[in-house]
Amino acid sequence: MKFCAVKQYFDDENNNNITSGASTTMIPLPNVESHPLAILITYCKKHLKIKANNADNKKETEKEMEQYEQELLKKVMPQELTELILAANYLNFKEALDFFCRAVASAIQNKSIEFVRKFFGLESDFELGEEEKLREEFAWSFEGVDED
Amino acid sequence: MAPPPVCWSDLPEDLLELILKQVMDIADLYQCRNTCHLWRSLAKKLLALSPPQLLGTRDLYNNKNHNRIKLSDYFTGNSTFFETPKFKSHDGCTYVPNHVHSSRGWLVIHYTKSSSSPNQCIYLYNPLSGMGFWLSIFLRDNSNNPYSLPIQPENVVFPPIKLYLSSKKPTSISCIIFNLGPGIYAAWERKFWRPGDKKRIPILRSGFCINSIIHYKDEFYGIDPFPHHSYVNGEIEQFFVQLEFMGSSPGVKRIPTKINRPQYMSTNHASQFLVESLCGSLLLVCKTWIHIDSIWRFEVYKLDWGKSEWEKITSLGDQAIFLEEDSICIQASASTKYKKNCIYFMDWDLRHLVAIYDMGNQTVSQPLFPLPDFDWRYPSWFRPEI
Repeated sequence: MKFCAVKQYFDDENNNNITSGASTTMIPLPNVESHPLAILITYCKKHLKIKANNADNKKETEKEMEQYEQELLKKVMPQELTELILAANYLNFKEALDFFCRAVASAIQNKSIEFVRKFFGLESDFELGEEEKLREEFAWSFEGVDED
Repeated sequence: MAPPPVCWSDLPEDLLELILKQVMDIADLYQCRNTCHLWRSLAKKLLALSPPQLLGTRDLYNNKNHNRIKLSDYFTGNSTFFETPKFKSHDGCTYVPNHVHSSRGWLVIHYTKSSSSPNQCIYLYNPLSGMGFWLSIFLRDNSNNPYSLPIQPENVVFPPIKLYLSSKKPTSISCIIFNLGPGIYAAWERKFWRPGDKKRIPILRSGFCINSIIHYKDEFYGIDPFPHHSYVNGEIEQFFVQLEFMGSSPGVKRIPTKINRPQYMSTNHASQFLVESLCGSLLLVCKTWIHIDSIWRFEVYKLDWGKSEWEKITSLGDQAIFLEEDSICIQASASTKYKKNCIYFMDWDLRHLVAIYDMGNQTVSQPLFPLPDFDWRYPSWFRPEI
């Protein structure tokens, strides 16, 4: 069971000896919207399917998984990644969490600070020209030193 | 009614850290420091857990690409190249990079003239931020050559100038030490200098050379590998020195310390490195190659300042040491690529660039990436600092 949070719920239920069938129990997931949940369920099913198909060949599994992940990323909007990460974290679904974090990390790879700020909606809280100040101070310090 | 869209500022810090952990390139991680204060503290935390990069240059005189510096991630095999800037002095001569090492997150690039002159200068360069400063304070003229030998660039290796910063901000009031030599010009020369000083102060009584200079608890210490009167009294040795620049007579002060070590690890036979541990102790790592057995041997000691004695330690705990002239000690864990209780060192004898010594089972293992396509000259470690 990949959704560890859900698994926990089932374990807790068994401990409480509730006999109603697992297939009819409603598990509340207040922090997950339906859209990201749907994507995560699809991801999980695909992951398990690929793993089952290539039981002996770990490399094949990885390769197929990578291909699927590339396809998935094309369909997902960058803004949706936040929801997906939060959902995967809440459900304690490690593989998906790692995957989506990696996706965000590659999205900001080699990009300018402005791009990163825009992507994340961040405001700079630095004083202006911190580096410029250092450069000026430094240049002055090394000028005019007598030679040997 | 649809709920409002989730935005990135809703992401808790630990998830943001997970994302930043996946940022592969240290240059990208370093740039994160300029986004905002939260990102800066996360980037600083993650960089402290990143292994240092391998730093090297190509063989300058046999290759056209002598103005490139290479930084390699030993654990992934990825490399980045940085171009060194060109320098032309007021006399119109071109200077070429000769040597590079690093100190406190800065690359110290040593330039020499391409014609027959010992004039040199230094470029302090942060390859990740692109900031750089010229230190043209080593320009000498021809008359300073005591041997009056004609100097041909093809068969002379200019002695590198090594610079030791006391903090990552070169403008801070603490001192910088320049280590000049050895070479055909003179025995080792060392000088103190602080930003703002008009003159450089020669360091006296420094013997033939001082290695492994480290800035530790606001002072500079080093190792004299050839101390006169090595053994004062039995196990007390004179290899450990402090470089003092305050006071009337700046120079080298010998600190006699007691050490109980095997003969094959004596000062004459072993390479010795000083490194600060994570908890702030001063460690001495001795490394030697035993020809008969064709193996490397390591001994690590910790200084007990009260007793002036080096105590042998058999485990680094959850630390890893990256050993070279500027050695680094960092925290290892299950999630780091480098392993705890291991020493990563340059293995010249077996022609491997980097090898790993496991303190636990006292074995040396093969490097992950042989890095064969690069003629490493003066390789060392580089660690950015935020």
